[in-house]
Amino acid sequence: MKKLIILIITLTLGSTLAQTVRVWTHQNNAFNAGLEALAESYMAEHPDVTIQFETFDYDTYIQTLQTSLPAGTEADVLQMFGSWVCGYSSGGNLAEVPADVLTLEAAREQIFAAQMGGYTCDDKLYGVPQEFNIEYGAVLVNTQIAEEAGIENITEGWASWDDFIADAKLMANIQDGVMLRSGYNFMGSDGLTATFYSLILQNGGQYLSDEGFSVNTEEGKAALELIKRMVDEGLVDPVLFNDEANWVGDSYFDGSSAIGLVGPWVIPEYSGDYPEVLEVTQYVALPSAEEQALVAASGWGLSVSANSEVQDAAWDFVNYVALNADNALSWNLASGTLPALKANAEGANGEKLVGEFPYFEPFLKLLPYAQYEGAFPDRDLVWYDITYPRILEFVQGFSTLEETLQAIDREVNETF
Amino acid sequence: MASIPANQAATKTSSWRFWARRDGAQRLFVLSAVSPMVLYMAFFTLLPMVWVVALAFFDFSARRAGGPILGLGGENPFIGLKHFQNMLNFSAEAPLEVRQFHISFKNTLLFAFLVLPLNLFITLPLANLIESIHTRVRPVFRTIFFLPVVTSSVAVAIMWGYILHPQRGFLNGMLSKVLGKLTVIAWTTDPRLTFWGVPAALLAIIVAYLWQDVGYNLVIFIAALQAIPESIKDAARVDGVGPWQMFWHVTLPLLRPTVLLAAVLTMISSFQVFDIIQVMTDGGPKDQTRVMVLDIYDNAFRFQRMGWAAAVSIVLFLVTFSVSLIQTRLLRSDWEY
Amino acid sequence: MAAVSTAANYRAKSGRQWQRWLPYIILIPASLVAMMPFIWMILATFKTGAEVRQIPPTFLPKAFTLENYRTILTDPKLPLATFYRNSATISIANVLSTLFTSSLFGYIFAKFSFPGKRPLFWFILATMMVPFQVTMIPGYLILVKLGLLNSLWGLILPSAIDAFGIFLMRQFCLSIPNDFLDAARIDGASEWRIYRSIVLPQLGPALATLGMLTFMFNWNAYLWPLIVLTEQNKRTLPIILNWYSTQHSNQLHLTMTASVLVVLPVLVVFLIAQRWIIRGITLTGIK
Repeated sequence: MKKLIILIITLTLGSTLAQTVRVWTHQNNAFNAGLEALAESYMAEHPDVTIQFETFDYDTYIQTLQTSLPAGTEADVLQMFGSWVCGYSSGGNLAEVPADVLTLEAAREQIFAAQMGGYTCDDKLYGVPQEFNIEYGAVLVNTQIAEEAGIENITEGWASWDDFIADAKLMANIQDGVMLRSGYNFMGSDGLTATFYSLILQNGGQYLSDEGFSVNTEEGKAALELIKRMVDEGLVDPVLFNDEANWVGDSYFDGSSAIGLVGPWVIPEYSGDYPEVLEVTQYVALPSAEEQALVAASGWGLSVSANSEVQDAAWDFVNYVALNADNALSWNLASGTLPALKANAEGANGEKLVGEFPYFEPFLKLLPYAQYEGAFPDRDLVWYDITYPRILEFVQGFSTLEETLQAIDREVNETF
Repeated sequence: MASIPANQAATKTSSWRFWARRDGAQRLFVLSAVSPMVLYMAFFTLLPMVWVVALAFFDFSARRAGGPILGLGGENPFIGLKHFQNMLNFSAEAPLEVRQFHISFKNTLLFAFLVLPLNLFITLPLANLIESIHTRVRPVFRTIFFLPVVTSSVAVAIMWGYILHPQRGFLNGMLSKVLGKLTVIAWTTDPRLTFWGVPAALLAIIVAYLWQDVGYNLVIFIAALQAIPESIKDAARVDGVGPWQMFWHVTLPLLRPTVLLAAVLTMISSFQVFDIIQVMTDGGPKDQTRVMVLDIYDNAFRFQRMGWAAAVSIVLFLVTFSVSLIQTRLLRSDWEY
Repeated sequence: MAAVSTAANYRAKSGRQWQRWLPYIILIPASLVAMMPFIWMILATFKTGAEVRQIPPTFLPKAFTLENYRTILTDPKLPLATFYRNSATISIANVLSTLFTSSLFGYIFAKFSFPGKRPLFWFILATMMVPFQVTMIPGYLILVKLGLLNSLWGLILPSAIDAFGIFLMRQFCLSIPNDFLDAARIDGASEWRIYRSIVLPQLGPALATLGMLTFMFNWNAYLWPLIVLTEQNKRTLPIILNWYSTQHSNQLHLTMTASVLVVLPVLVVFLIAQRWIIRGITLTGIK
C-alpha cells in the first residue's frame, strides 16, 4: 500500500514536474525562429515545461494534419491558418479557448475583426491569431529597377491603374520575345486570388451574401477585365510566372520581377539570401477604385488539440506567445507579419513596429479597410483549387471571361 | 554448409514410432508457422481488400465518427453505387472531383501506353548493343544505364526538374546556345505546350520516368540474351544472316516470352506512377499530369473524401487486373505455340 | 561462359573493323545522355547561388566552391544523420522480417503438405495482383486503429510478409534434396533446427538477392512513409529531400547539394551490391 502511494505520488509529481508541449508549425523559417525565441524565454520562466517544435512544408502539413487527427498523433499546439479553423473544430479536433485565457467578448475587443472571423465558429473561439494576414493592398517595388527605367518618385504611389500599368510596363524586360523580367508579378495564388476578390469589393460588389456565392456580376467582370488588361499589356507572362513556374517571392528577389504582390512576411524569409535586393526594396500601396477595400484571410495563429493531455500548459504557452502584447509584437517583427492585436497596430507599439520594420507602413494604413474573406467550408479548395487555376487559365488564354466566372460560381457553390 | 548427421543407422529401431513422431513434429512445425501467417494475412492483406471495397459504397471520411463497424454508417452514410454512378457523369458540369477523375484516368492510360512502347524501343536495341560489345566493358555500360534504377524517384524528379527548369535548366541553356537566341520554355508548367497532342508536361514526366525505368528492362533483356544458346546464332551466321536480320528473325522471337512478361510488368508499374509526378508537377499544369494514384492520394489524404478515393482505387485495380489477365492469356497461347 | 565465346566469335568473324566500333558509336553518346542529370546536379553543387541563377546557365562552375556542402552539413534544420538512421532502421527491419518470413514460408510451401495449402498459396500469388496503392486507404485506417500511425512499426509490421519473396524462396527450396532434410530428421534435429541449419544456408545467395531488393525498395519508398510518418524527425530521406527542395525552390545550388548527399552514398552501396540487385530483377523477369 505504501509503495502504491509512493508510486502514485511520484507519478503525479513527475507529470507536473516535467511537461512536454509539442508544437506543430508549417515551414517558414522566420515564423519559426520568432516562435522558438519566445519558447526559449517561456521555458526559462517555466523550467518544468519543455516546448518541442516540429515543422512541415505547407502541403505536407495539411496532409499530416488530415492523417494524424483521426489517429490522435497530432501535437498539443497546432499552428492553424485562421480560415481553416472551423473545418477542424467541427470535427471535434480543436479545444475551445478556456475563458481564463480569452473570452469571446475580450477577443472581439482586442483582436481585429478580420482575424477573428476564422477563429470563431458558432460563437465559440478555437484559437488565437498571431498575425493580420494581408496579401493585397501594397506591393514590393524594386526602386533600383525603377530608377534604371527612368521612373521618378515611384515610392509616392500611383493615382490610377493607368499610371501603375505605365510604370510597371517600363520596368519589364522582354528579350527575343521572352519575358526575362516581369514588370508586375501578381500571379501568385494568394496574390491573384486576393486581387480578384478585393477588386470586386472595391468595385462596390460582394461575392458572398445571404443568397450565396457569386462572382458572375458586373463587379466580378470588371475585376477580371482589369487583371486581363495588366497581362495583355505585358506586365507579366502568366506562363513563365506563376506558383508552379516561378513563385512571386522567388522571382522578385532573384530580380526576375520588378514589382511583386506578396505580403511583408517574405522580407525576413529572403533578407538573408538577398541583402542587396532588400536594400532597394520598398512597399508601395496599390491604386484602388472608388472604395478603399480589400479581403484578408484570417491568418496564422495557434490552436490546441482536443486530444492534448497537457491542455493547460499548451494554453498557457499560447497565451504567452499570442496575447501578451510585447511577445506578440516581437513575433510580428521577427516574422514580418502585421499584428492581430489592435494594441500593437497603434500608439507606441505601432510606432515601434514601423520604426523597426518600415515595410509595414503602407499596410498599417490599410488595416481598417480589410474585411474577413468569409466563411467557406474548405477555404483552401476555393482559393487554390478553384479560383486560382480558373483565373490563371483565363489569363493564359484557355477560357473566356464568361466561362471563367461561371465555372468559379459553379465549383465554389459545390463546396458548400 | 550444415553438417549431415553420421549416425543414421542408430535410431532405426522402431520405424512406426519414428514416423508417428516425425509426423507430429512436422505437423507442429507447420501449424506453428502457418497459423500466425494466416492470421497475419487475414488482418494485413485480406482485410484491407475487403475494406476498400466496402469504403467505395460509403460517403466516408476518417475525421467523422461514423458507425460502430469500421466507422461505416452513422455520419459516414451508405450511398450504394453513387460514387460509381458519378464516375459516369461526363457532362462539363460534373463536380470537380469527377472531372479530375476523368482526367486522371485518361492521363494514366496515356502515360502507360506511351511509356511501354518507348521503353521497349529503347531497351531492346540497347540490350543488343551492350550484349554485342566486349565482355570487359559490358558492365560499365550496364551500370551507367542501371544507376537511375537504384536512385530514389524523389531525387530523379528533382534532377529532371533542374534539367528542365525554364531559366536555369540544362535543356533550355543548350537550346539557347544551339539556336543562338535566348530560349525560355516552361517544359513542365506551360499548359499550352503540346507535342503531337500530348502535353509537354506529361512528356517531361515520361522522359524522367523512362530515364529511371529503362535500366530495369535492360537488365532483364541482357540476361535473356545471354541465355540464348550460341549454337543457334552460329547456325544463323553460317547461313549468312546479317546482324539486323539476326535481331529481327532470330533474337526477337526467342525473347518473346521475356519481352511479353517485361511489357506487362512495365505497364502495371506505370499505372501506379506517383512519386515523380507528385514531386515534379503535382498534377499540374491544368491537371495535365494528374494520374490516378495522385487523385487517390489527394482525395483520401488532403480532401478527406475517402469513400470516393476508395472507389477510384477499385477502378485502378480493375485497370491493373485487366492487364494481368491479358498477360496470362498471351503467355498461355505462347506456351501452346 | 557463353559471353566470352560471343565476343571471340564476333571478332573472328567480322572482317570489317567499323562494325566492331559501331555499338560504341551509339553507346557512348547514349550513356553520356544517361549520365547528364547526375552530372548537371553534381556541377551545380560547386557553383555559387548567383551563378546557378544566371540566365542562360553556365555548364562548368566559374568559381569552384565547397561552400554549399558546408551549408548543408551544418544546417541545424537538416540533421541528415537522423534521417539516414530512420531510413536505415526501416529498411533493415524490413529486410530481416522479409527474409525470415519468405524463407520460412517458401520452405513450408515447397516441402510440406497440409490442409489448405493450395488455396493459401494461390491466395498469396493473387495478392501480387493487387497494387499497394489500391489498399493504402484501409492500410492507413488499420494503422490508426492500432495506434501505429507515426511509428516506425507502421512501416515494418504491414510489410512483414512479402508474396513475391515467398514465391521466390519456394522456387529455390524445391531444389533442396529431400534426403538432406530426412537425414537430419533421422539424426533427431528439430524442424526449426533443420530450417535454420540446413535450409537457410542453402538459400544464401537467393536471400542476399531478395535482401538487396527489399532494402532498395524500402530505402527509396516515398508514398507510404509520407502517409504513415507524421513527425518530422521520424521521416525518411526521400520525404526530407522533397521537403528541403520545396523550401529552397529558389536555392537550386543547395537543393542539389542536399540531393547529392542523400543519393550518392547509397548509390555507392547499391553499385557495390548491384549484382545481387540485378539478379533479383532478372528473376522477376524470367520465371
